[in-house]
Amino acid sequence: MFTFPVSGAEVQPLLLVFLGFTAGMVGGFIGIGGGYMVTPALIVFGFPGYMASGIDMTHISGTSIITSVRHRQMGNIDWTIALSMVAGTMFGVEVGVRLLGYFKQIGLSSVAVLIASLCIMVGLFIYTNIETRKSHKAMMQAMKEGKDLDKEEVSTSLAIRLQNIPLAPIVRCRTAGLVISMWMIVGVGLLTGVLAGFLGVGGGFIRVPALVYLIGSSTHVAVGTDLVEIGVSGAYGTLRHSIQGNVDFVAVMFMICGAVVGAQFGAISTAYVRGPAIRYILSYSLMLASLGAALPLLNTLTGGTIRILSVLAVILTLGQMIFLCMFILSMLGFALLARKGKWVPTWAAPLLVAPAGGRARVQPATVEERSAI
Amino acid sequence: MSKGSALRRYVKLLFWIVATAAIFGFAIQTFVTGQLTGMYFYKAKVDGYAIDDKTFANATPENPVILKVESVSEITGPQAVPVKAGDLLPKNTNGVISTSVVKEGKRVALENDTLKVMLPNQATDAKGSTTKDTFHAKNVETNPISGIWNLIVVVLMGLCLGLLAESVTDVLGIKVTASAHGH
Repeated sequence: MFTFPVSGAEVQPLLLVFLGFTAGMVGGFIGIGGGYMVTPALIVFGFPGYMASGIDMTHISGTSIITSVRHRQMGNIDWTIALSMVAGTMFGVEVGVRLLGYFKQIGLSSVAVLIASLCIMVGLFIYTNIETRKSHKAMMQAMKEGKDLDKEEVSTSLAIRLQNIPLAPIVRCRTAGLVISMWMIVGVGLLTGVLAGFLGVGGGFIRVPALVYLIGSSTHVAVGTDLVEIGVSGAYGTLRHSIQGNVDFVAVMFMICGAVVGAQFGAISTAYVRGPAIRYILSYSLMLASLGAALPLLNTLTGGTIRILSVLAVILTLGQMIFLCMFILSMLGFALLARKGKWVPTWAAPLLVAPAGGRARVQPATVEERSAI
Repeated sequence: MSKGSALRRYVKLLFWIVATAAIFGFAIQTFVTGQLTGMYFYKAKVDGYAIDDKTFANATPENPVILKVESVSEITGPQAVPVKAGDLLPKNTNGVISTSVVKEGKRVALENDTLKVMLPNQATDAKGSTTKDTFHAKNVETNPISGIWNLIVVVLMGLCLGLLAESVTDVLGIKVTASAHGH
């Protein structure tokens, strides 16, 4: 055990390295900071609540740079979108923080934040999951018909409608391959910034779906570009939290050592999968985070009388990162099997990027198909 | 892989190893010398007594710990240094016991030129959870410079580690190339 000098917490440092590893992997794969998972985990480990937020924010700003470097190498960052969104995001965060202050004045802040974060996460989970299933189904059908699959498949046309709004200046986003009014990008940044500022989070789990469904970028570009945004907002958060005395930098160093390895697995894995695979994992992380938020809310509303709720919250907090990492590693595993010409499950094949000149071999579904080989 | 490009990759890897070691070494050195904690426990927020809570961690009402009240520049044992709001804190301080807590006399009591600590931790029940109220990091003001220090160091760590990881995959021959996007 190590006693962290600033926070006074006694924590096994390897736990922090492992937490950083899982946060880096999940963040590098789905383009989020993971604060809504990491902060509760730090509290469970023994760090005071205010310091857990500060440590998480500081670690996120370092980890997002690590993952951005990798995503830049992979061509997943659209700098036009990233820079246009920054101003909107920062302004939106300030509006969100002031809105939270208003709710605090009328005595509703903690309940309001919990309920709002729950509603947003559940709503995003439902929408993302349903849309991704539709896209997955369409890809499975295309695969059955012997058609070649694109790297991306999205089943909503909302982004096309927003792209057609002729509000000058119109910008060409070369990496994302789209032409859109800059005000749309700034507006999306503003909206996601308000939500992020109100909820006290980085906002990646809001911005990635917004970039895909509202701006129309591919999921891979949304992931890479969002990590740049997180770096900027994380840097601002680091400064603010440090001045408030909320950062134990020694804890950050342990986390970032784990994050550098996890981030490589997460970021490089995106090259082996198609957009819907990333959106599936994003939607499941939202589902788990919703449960993680619902349990403490129920616990608070019941006055802590149902002890099992707090135990379940702890198990969920620690387990959800491991579950998501196993999911990511399994997708990577299937992709590597596919590239070696081995069989992969039918549901996984459309989600994988096929080896050059071929497609993933799918497990035969029926006995007849198996005996025909 | 030509000899020239292989050499370039190894030189790049070596450069980023050295840079990463340098930034981590700098951060660790700042911690080991006490400068890191000194930036955090910078000034007193209230009038009271600067303390190192490790010196009375095992105090109980039956076995209180006696702290000697004296003005020193570095706390080296069971000592309590009188401070006013805004005063710079002595070295090894990690909290300030306010005079209001001392006047209450329930957890800490002033006896002549000593401070008797009876209850270093106090459980407080909030709705649905129990938290421990200690004197650690209480009533201290952080040096604003720490914000800039934390930001610069974490950004440099991120850059060095990210580019180190990139050079490791280059040397290992793991191909990570830019891909085409679009629907």
